[in-house]
Amino acid sequence: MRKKHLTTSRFTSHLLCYFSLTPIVFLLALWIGSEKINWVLFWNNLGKEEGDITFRILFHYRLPRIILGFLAGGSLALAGGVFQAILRNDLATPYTLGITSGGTLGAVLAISFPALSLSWGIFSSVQIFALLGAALTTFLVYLLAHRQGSFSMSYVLLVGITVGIFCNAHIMLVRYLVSPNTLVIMDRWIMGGLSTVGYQDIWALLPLLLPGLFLLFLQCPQLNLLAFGEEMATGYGINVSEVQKNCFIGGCLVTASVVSITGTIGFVGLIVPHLVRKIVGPDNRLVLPGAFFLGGNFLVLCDIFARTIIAPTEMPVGIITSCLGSPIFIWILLRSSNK
Amino acid sequence: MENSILEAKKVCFCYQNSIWALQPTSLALKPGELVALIGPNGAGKSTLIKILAGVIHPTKGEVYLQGERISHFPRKKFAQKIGYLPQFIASHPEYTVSEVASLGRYAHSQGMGFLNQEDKHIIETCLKTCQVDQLSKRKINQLSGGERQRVFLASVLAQQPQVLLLDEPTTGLDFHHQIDLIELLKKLSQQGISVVFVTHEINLASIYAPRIVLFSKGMLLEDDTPNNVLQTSVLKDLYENKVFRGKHPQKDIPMIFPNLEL
Repeated sequence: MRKKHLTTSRFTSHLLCYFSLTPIVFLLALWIGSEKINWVLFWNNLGKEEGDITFRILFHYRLPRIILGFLAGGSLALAGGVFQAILRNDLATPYTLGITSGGTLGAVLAISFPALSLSWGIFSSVQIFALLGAALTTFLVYLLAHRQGSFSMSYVLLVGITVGIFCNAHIMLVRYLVSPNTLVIMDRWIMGGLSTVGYQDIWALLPLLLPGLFLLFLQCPQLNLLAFGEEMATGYGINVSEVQKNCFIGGCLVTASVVSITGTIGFVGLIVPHLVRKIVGPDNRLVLPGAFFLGGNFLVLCDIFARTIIAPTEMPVGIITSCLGSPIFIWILLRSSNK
Repeated sequence: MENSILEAKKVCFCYQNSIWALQPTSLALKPGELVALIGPNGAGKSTLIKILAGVIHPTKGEVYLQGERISHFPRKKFAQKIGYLPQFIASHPEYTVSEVASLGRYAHSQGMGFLNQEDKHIIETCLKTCQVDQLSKRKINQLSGGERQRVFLASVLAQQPQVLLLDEPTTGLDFHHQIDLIELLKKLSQQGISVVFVTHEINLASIYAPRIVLFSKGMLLEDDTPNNVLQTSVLKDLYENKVFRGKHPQKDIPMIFPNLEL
């Protein structure tokens, strides 16, 4: 049985609980990999050449990848949780709303056409085009779904799915037109992966991701009030259209920044918030931070599989999240329907 | 009107792509008044109550809360004074009764909206007032329609409003729950809260509400005591000659019955 009300101490204990999992998962992900680490040898040879190689594997290859995975998984799960809350629909995610497809189309265009492939310091045109694609689809879905000053819930998912199909058709068109070499690069990118070396990608991710995360976390208390409809929420004292706008802008920034670096990683945004809600109840002040931490840890764990399952080759992590996510999600659904 | 807590001045409203419109309507509410809005479907009752609650904005005219335009109030501050219970409330099976009631404290909260001892005490009092304190741990989807309605009323009362606006709060309730709810509204008005409720239960409105406002086709027709508003000539026009005015057998209160002599 859930405790009755959310207090500061209960909130803090939940945050500590979420946070405590993260170092364990990080250590596990540092430990496990295609290259076995001899920790004693590493410690004894620290500063020497043999130690330096291990140091490079751990902190130049594995740690940036873990941080990227954590931020990407956490952000996608958070965005999924926010969309599920404002649309009061368990199927609402950046993916089903077409935002991921829009971002992917933008990124695919930047990858495919040499004239569009530019870079400015740590930023690349892939990021800019992913943001443009995601922003355009978000704007389109928001505009089409926003009727007479309020969201039509049955409409918004249909619009999102249709916009997603439209973007996917254009992705296929681009794939059809590009050379076989570019097609391979593009396909690997679309499958979703966390291949990164050094911290450059993480720095490139942050300028869009941090404001997006900040905006989404700010909406936590207001999102609870939307559980019983827009009119009820207005009566409780929130500006519904402002909350919806902030959620769409935050969701767009977060999704675009993640998609531009990692490609399409499905299912995290769908199953993780759902799972957290089953554990802690419907209060978004607990669900959304939980989704962020659990989503981050989930993707890092999936990436351990991706790195090791067919070592020394790597598997795109998007395949793992979908393969693990689908049965877990069906199990959750069957379990909740049996209650 | 002097001393009015909430006042609509010549408010009009048109829905998009619709020829229906709320004609210029003025209504002033005094502290502690209990007012019933009645009239056939599509008369404009719900539209007016939504305008008063700030859910929709009038195309013309203005609503004043304690003499100040409601458009000037921040939404949260407005919710500290006005409680609104809509006709249709979306369902969320995961929330418990106590959690629903606690949502009403948002208007008084800051930051993440954690509850302090005072908030908890107010929530418990509101649950008791609405006689749902025994159900506090039950999930909202495990309740009957009447219990659900009282839980949402408790949640709105937790806002500690000075004015309560309720859109058809008795719809779907069995007769004794309708009586219970309207008696509760009467009690709240006696405690100083101004209550406006939309209803199709004309007889209950006549018995409990000292003031009835009658609407038809987007116009305010009458605003007076039940005795003066429920006139046979007016009602016959509104309800196509199918109603007949009589009296309550125990008290001198006008009642409406189906006309059997047709």
